[in-house]
Amino acid sequence: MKRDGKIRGPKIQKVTGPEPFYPEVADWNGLAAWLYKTRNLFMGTTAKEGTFSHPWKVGCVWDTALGKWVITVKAGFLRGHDVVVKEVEGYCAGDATWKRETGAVNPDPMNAKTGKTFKNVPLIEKPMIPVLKWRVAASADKVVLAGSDEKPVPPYFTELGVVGAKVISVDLDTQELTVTEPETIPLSAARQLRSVEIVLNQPRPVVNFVEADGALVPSVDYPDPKKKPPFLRLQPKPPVTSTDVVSTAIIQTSLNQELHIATVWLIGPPGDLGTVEPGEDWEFVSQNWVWWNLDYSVHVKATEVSLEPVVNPALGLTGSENAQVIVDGLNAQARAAEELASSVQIDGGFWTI
Amino acid sequence: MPITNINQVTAKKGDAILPKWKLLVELVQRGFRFGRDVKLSILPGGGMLVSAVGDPYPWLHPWKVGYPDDSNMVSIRPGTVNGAVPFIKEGMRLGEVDKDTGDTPGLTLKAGEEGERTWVMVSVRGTNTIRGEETTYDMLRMDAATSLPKGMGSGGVIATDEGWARYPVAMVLWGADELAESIFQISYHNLNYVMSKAEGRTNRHFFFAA
Repeated sequence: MKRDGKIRGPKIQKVTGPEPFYPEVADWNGLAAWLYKTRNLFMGTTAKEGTFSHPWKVGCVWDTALGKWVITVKAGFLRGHDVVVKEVEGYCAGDATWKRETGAVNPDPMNAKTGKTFKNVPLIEKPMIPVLKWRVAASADKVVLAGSDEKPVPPYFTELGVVGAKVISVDLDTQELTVTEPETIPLSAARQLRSVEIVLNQPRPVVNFVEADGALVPSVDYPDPKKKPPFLRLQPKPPVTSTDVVSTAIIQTSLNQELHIATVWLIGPPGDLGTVEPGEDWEFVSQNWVWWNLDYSVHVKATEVSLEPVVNPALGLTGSENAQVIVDGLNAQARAAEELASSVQIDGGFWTI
Repeated sequence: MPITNINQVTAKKGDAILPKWKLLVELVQRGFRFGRDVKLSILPGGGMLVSAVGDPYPWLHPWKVGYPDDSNMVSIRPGTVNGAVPFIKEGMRLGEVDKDTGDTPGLTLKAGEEGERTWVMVSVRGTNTIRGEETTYDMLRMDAATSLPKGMGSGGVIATDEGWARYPVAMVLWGADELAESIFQISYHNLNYVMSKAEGRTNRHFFFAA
């Protein structure tokens, strides 16, 4: 016990080592503020090109020699068959196509006028598809009915300066018309928009009728993919969807089963509203509607059509009687034709595999 | 208590620092998520540089077919048909390791001439009983062929070969010197299969992404 009466503990031995770290308040608070501010920072890796790109992926570049925009599409498959592009100019075909078709590569690859055209070029041979006709997007001088085939400019492009069209919508309950005016954009910032649709076509089965025992008997010829392969086509308007095709008579006028693969958009430079054909200073945006390879099924329902006997005009009848016989015969033929047209029903659809 | 306000971690002179330190540790653990092989650098001006190191990771999807080795054997990532993994050989499903050799067996292809094609196919015995683990080598297996099954152009109809309905998952395009030039993947997904029986007509076999 010491003289002051307090009990003291054992003497602490001094330990040698680095000086303890006492952060200044400002340092501490700075660190805390930085960590707090950046706590939700998103970090991740960016995959290098070439690791994965999905089938039907679209590219679009300006080709100087052609003086046109050309589209490339990563090879996609339909029912295991690789899809082709029809009638490809020699300049737009790759080495693989030249080698397969002629036994040698293109002797003058920089010349846009080779004078050669290849009939069916598989997408796996990477052909270029020049865009011959762009669709002018609905612009400020157009009026579009909401929900109609004429699509207004998507908001993505109006944000970039494309002037949209007036959109009219009808309230079915109140029968009121509403007109939505496009956003006003100064001329110096306004931009033009073009688009083209990439459509997959699967040749349809053909139904042939053969006359037998007073009736037309159907037989179905399915297309041989080696002779009539599925192909890609560029067209200004998107195709009618397969559902619509199935449920309406449009199927009768369409030669192929079609699927909308992608839309390619070109957006013009700001302030340039006079140019008609897109040039190299335009920018492209692709919008895929399909990302995977496909299968499809087609169902053909064809029924027999009975034939009415056609009466030939007979000699000895009066003029009006003769005319009546002809009219009856024509009517019978018309009925048969109508029955024939409605006796064939082809429907089907695509799905991903 | 999770940190919700900057004032919870700022300090005044003389404050106990340990509780605030724990909060900061919790903040860091909760807020930062580093991807694999990500390097973070702080630049002198306070900017942050996030860079990826190492090779990017390929997408190992079902049915992914690799390039052939010296013996023209291709590796196939396991995929499923109606939930069952097909057999690559008798008694062994895709992706299983052979205990004798320590290898994962693949499918041996017959090399083709330049421009020829070989399809890697999944083969299903034409029946509606393909499900789960009850399958055998005689019901569900991997095959290769130099042409697609007949009827593959007809839509919905796949002609069976001795009762087998086949569907391609990848296509090998052969180049010069019997080497594979390119491999094109056809299916990226596990598959489902159904057979549609039809009286008086050919049965229809459907494969679709699961």
